[in-house]
Amino acid sequence: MIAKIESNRNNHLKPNYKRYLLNGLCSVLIVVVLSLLTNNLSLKIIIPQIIIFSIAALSLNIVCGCLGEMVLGHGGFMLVGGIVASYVSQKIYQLVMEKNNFSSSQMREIFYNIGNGEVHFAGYILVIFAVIVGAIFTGVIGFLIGVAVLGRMKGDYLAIITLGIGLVFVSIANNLQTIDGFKYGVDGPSYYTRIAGNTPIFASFLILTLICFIMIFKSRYGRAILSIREDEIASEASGIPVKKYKIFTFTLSAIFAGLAGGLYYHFASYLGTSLFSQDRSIELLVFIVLGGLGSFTGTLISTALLTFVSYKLLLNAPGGYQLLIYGVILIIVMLIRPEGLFGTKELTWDFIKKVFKIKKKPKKIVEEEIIHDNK
Amino acid sequence: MWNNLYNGLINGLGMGSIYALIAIGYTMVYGIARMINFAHGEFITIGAFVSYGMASLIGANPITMIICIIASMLICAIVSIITEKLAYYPLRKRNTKRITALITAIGVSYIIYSLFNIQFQEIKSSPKFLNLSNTNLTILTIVITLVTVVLLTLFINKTKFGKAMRATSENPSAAKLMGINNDAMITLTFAIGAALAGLGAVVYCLRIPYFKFSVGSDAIGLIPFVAAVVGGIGSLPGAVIGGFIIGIIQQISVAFPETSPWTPAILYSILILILIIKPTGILGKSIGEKV
Repeated sequence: MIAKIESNRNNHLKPNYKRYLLNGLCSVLIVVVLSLLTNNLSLKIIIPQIIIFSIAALSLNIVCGCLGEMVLGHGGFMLVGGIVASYVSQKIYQLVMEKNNFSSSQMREIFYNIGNGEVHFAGYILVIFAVIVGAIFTGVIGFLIGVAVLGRMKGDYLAIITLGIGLVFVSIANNLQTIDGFKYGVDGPSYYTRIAGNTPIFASFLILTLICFIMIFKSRYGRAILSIREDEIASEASGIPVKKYKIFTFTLSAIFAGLAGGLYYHFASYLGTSLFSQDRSIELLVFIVLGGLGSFTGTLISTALLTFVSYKLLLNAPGGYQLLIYGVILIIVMLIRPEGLFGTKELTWDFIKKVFKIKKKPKKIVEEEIIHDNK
Repeated sequence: MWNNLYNGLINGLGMGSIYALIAIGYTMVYGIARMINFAHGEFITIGAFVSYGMASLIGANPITMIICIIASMLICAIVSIITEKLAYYPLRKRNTKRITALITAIGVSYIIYSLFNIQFQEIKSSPKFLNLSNTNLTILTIVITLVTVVLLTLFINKTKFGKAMRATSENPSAAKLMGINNDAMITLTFAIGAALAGLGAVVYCLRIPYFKFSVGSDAIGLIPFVAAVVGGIGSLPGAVIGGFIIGIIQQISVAFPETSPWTPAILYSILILILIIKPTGILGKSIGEKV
């Protein structure tokens, strides 16, 4: 009997292959469905945007929702990632061209054909490499900022300082007229490397992000971070190294923000600083607040909804209405349901079953068996 | 070189006194309600448009300027009271997290900004109340700011309302036991802050030839907020000192062509440095955390 209880207790430690298979199939299905959906031109524009902003919003949510600290300058990290990724991909493109004395039409055959938008294998590798380099660079910057800032202040002051950091990044990028002849700032670099319509790449990055975050937040690290959100002093008293976990979360968030920025550059092939200004940071905050601070699925749903609405508004309504609707949404959500659509809950199968009252018969409680056994 | 420095200093004193007026609103609201009022910048837009409307009705000369100032202060205060009652009061009553108040303030700021954006697309020329040289204008602005600050300090230290406000900001529950209506005091603080922003808007319009709907959020933007934080958020003399420091640094940086494009980076780097060295600002008091 005891062996049985032991095996029950350690059930969650055993790899559940059925579940892995199911998750893997779901991921493949999502990629396939998304790539089939993108035949339509407007969907070709909107779905990669939704995916990129989802990655950025998720990475903001692990600081604001899971750690419980406000960050108002997340767009700045996206900007850093975008600049570094675009620099790397264009530099490599130029180096390959100069080393081998290729003409531009030969380069198009190797990497990316501007005419018909076809991306070749080397083009994918180049973009993925550049995006990852951008993400790592942003992560290093996020780590340095975290070390300098997180031990000293929290709450409102941390929100203010991240706001300042985001604005400093934007201002520096505005003044970075050129690095090695690549123009940044207002105009942005011209494109040679682009994966605009190739949704599967974007979708696989989103799935990678989700897997990474879910695995972290199911582990010891995630539980420690959540306990810091609930009560910082109590968790410090329980022996959790609060500062270490804060820096860890901040760095993780910066890495994925940089990833989103790099992807955005390779989607839009344009890198104006206005794209990642203060408004973008606040927009990401709107996404996660509406979805629920601390809920990943809520973030995905609200990001998809709001990006779609603002895209439609941009096409059909004159300027100004987008911010009006954002403002009204923010205030109504805060007044009616301050925790957002999902709160800290996730939209999982168990949650759906609970909502629709599909209940299994409750299993016999183990403790009863123990008492029975002792007799 | 010296000419640039002189111009920067004069402009800096003038802009600094305007930033000080607006920063007082940020600092007072933070001191009493413990929230960063991100919608404060929009009251500059409201003040500027009210003074423009009044001036086009009754003409622009030094006497109507006083009427315009009073009108824009009043309307800013009324709008501030309305937004406070509609948006922040229900949140405060339910005792929600601080983050929700901040996000609501962002929402209010979005709504006011986009309403002005939809309604007034074109650029307005600011009313010409006075015909003064730059130096005289700066002296006038400084005088207006100093008189306002002295009156406000007297109000806070000597009158019954001011004492009640200080009591609320120091300890709300004890103040309530003494029979002070906390909510009324918070509303009064919001109204005073917005009225000062309205005054700042009219004075700012004297310095600029044109303005449009983004005057509060883009032209002035978060600079008064930086001033309030640098001076020590929650402290009234700190806001004035911070306003002058930030104004002078900004205008001197603008005056030189080499540093001019780097001005935002310089200002926000000062903000970051001050927060890292002394998180509470120059005159702020640190409050210990209670378990």
